[in-house]
Amino acid sequence: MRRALPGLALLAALLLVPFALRPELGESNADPSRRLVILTPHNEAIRYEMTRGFRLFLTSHGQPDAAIDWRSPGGTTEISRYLASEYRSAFEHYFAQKLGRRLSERGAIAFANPRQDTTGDDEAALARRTFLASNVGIKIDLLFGGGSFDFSQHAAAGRLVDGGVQARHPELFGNGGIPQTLGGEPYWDKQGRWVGTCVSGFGICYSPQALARLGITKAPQRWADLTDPRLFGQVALADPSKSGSANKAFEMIVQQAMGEAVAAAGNPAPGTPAEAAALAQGFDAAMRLIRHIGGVSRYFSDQAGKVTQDIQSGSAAAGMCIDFYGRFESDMPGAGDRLRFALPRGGSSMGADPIGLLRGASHPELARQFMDFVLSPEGQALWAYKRGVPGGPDRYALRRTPILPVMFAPERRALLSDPDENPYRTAQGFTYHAAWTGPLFRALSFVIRLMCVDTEEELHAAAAALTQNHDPPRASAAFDDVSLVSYAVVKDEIAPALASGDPLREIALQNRLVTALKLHYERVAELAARRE
Amino acid sequence: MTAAPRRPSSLLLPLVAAIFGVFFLWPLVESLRGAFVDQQGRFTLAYVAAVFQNPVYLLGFRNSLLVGCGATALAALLGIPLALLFQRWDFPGRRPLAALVSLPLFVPPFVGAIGIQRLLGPSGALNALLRHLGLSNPSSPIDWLREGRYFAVISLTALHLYPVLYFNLSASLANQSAELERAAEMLGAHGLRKLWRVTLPLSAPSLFASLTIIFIWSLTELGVPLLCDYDRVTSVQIFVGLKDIGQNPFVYGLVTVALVATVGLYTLSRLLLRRLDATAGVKGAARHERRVAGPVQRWLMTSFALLVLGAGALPNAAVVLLASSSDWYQTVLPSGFTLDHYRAALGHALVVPSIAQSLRYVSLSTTLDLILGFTIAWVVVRSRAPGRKLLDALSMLPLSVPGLVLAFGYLAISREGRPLSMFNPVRDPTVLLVIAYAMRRLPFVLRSAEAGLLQMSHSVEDAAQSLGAGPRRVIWRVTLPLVLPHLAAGGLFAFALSMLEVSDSLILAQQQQHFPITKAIFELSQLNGEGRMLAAALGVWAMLLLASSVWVARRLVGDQSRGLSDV
Repeated sequence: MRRALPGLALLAALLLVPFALRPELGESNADPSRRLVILTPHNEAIRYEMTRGFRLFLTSHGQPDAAIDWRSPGGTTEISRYLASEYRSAFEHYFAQKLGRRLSERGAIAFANPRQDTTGDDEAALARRTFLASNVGIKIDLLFGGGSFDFSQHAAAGRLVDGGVQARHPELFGNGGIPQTLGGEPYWDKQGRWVGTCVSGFGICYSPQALARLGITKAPQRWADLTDPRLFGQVALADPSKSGSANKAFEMIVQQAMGEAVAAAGNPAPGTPAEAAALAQGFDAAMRLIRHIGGVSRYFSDQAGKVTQDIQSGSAAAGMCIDFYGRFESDMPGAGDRLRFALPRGGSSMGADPIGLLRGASHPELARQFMDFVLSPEGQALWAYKRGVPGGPDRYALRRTPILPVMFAPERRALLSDPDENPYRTAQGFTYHAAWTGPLFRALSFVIRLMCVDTEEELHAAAAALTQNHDPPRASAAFDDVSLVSYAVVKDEIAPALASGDPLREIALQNRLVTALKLHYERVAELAARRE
Repeated sequence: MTAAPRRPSSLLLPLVAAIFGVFFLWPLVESLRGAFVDQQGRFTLAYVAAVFQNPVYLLGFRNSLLVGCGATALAALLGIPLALLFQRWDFPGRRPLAALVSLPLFVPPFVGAIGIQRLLGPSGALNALLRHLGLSNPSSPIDWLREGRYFAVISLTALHLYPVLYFNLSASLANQSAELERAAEMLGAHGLRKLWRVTLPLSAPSLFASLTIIFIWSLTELGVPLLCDYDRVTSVQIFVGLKDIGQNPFVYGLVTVALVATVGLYTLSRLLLRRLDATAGVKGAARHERRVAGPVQRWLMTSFALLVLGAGALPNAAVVLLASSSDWYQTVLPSGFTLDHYRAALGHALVVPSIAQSLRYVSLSTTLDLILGFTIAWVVVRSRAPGRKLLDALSMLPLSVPGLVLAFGYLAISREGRPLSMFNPVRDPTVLLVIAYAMRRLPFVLRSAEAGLLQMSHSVEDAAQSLGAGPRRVIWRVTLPLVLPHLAAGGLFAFALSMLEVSDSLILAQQQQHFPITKAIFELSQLNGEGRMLAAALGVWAMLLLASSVWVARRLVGDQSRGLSDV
């Protein structure tokens, strides 16, 4: 025992330090019935400021205090998986109790399937109908944070219900309020099942120091600047198959290229063969551009903070990052020449970060009060104001862009952390055409994953062989041949397969395309090596 | 195997099989069942078959196998000489250096990766050092983690895992009788011949246990390939599939194939290494005295130990430097030091409750591991109960099941209306977290306990029985004390790795008051700006806590059993 004393003393000291440094906690004494349960991917800083702000909001409106029970089982994909499996289980339980029989596997697949027909007597239709008419819940009130893509999926599945914000606050959505869409991005659901609370988009971050070392003196301003062969292995990208927001950024590349092709064709009338040809041409040009970016990529990551972190630590030279990460990190002490952030010329899509009421919420009234708070000027100020200014955050400057247009009024400029950020101004220079790429949104992430992520090794080998052999013509032409993932293939083959909802059809397509793309890149590398 | 008491095993096998079945196989099946059902709810093997039709996944399997083989071979090259050196020889600095061996196990996830990047990235410390020495071109720094990714992956994996081999082999060497080696020497076997023909065969069960753990672990390792952007390995492909927004059940087909491959490879390695797995060794009274070599050899031994231990402790050093730095970019050491990150991290409201929770979860899960691990090992080694070999092979599965998959399985079996709804983690995740941690780390304790039992002569137990001791008394008074060093080695891994477990903690501990320390580190790492520095600072604190806990445990129980203080 005596031999263990020094170790025990060290252990005791280690355990004492955090106790000694423990902050004073302003715990809520709220009635247990006023305990709001929120599922969120938001970080601790947002959770802290929103809890504090909501309690102040309630006090200022003469409401009794409330506590927030934040649940965070990971990022948006974990949350989607969590919601899907929790609702399945809750519905199985409800179905068995209500109808006195076990829900079949078919019913369990169909009840949250938005494509499921609700008429008819078969098990699948019955399950879907029963779910939509029910108040089945998972003892969680709100879903707060993520992308509009995820929220739209949950809304379509029936997991989100109308939170009533539009009915209670029509002034927020009228003229001068939050538009339904901006630059093609939906900002609120027409059926009220979710509404954006702040916005964010992807931009280009880069290290001037690393670029200079590679001999690149011009800062990247457009996505096309990320195709420079000198950047080989140095471009950090966000994975469109893991995040709807990242996929939106790639969709913008496609929209931009389509727009240029249509303009070059003299703006033919919509629906005409001339427009269709221009759109196909633009889409294929975008695929070539994305393939070239993939050719010099370092990785496609699903972690929002990884790209800025790697650029700042010198592991990558440039990349694609979410605006507030880029702004935050570029202002860190010492960032200097290691990290800069720019919104790409030609437009960037600014997507909404929503909130929505979950079906079967246990505290719907309190949940609605929280939604009202987040969309109020008090709640919006927490996203954007500097730390310590009146109405601003107390401990953390969140540096997110609010969604309420009124927050960008000139009199508020002095209070904002980033007064020059205004999504409504940014979006003005860009026209989004939903009909061009909207139906291809999911197919786009699928194709980019196969073309650049799954076949990354062969793609890199092909790109490296081209550079080493000074871009021999046949090899270069083969590299630029995107017939395997052309507009026609994506529109007529891939998008319908994905929309069919048949996972086996999707897998068969995936296996066939991966095999073909892998062989294609190997052929390019061979041609380049032979200098053909 | 000689005649064994059959009665306890006939009760124990169904009991441990039931526990393993309910708390591991059932949640696993719940999670994976989507891979076997088509759109109409009918059984299908199409998802599993599709794995074999995709060349990229097949290459992933091949690369994983290569990583497994390479990392295991390298870990053996580092761990075996090191264990022999520390157990059989005396050299300058032996005792303080021995304390460093466990360091690679104490590196918290995420921050370890950030630390390694600061050392080996293009703008990291190693390139700064080479530049300083005039050995590299400043305009084209070497990207150590990316160029030659395969070698980076196997080196980092082996440096992380060699302690598994070191501790198991040390426990075995410390308990070997010196008489057999002396007899070999008298018959003319010296040096490498004695090592190859006598010493290592006597430790064969420990070698087999460690090598299989390292092989399966490196086969399924996720963090290191992600750090080196080595994406074409099965573990990363599964991770990517689980994160895909399309949520195709195909990924569960891939998980299933990986699990079947794990059991198959374990069984194959068991057949190939049958000699290693055979009952061996005699624990005797004659203890090895450490030899003292000549002055040059002694310092060469110190240098070798320093080199291996230093390389293994690089992530620890990097995390400490990162947490203490005000800035560290393109310099060998940080350009400024500060204690601010420690102050901010340890003073965070999340930290104090998470410490208490972690200690509670992990002490319970390690105890459960020790009980289950020893019981299963006893049934497998000492009994002839039918099905014991299957249980043995299945018990390797937790090593290759992604934490995320198992965590969702636990959620599924504990929901309202399900038989285990009383363990619903939303109310209190203690039971499920303890079980999840225990199941995932069971292979470590089990393999160590099996090695201890195999290495122990049956005659000691037979002698106790012939003197009238009943089966329970034999186990309690004879078997357990003799395998205690092995159990301590396995328990150490279970404790350290459970303290640093991430995926189960992220999913199962949902309310702030239930967060364990890893989830607190994760939450801090997500803060913009200084987040990773705060996470590193809390990581340093966790490393110190683990190191001192293990040190105290050794001191408290070390006197009970010979050789334990070496573990």
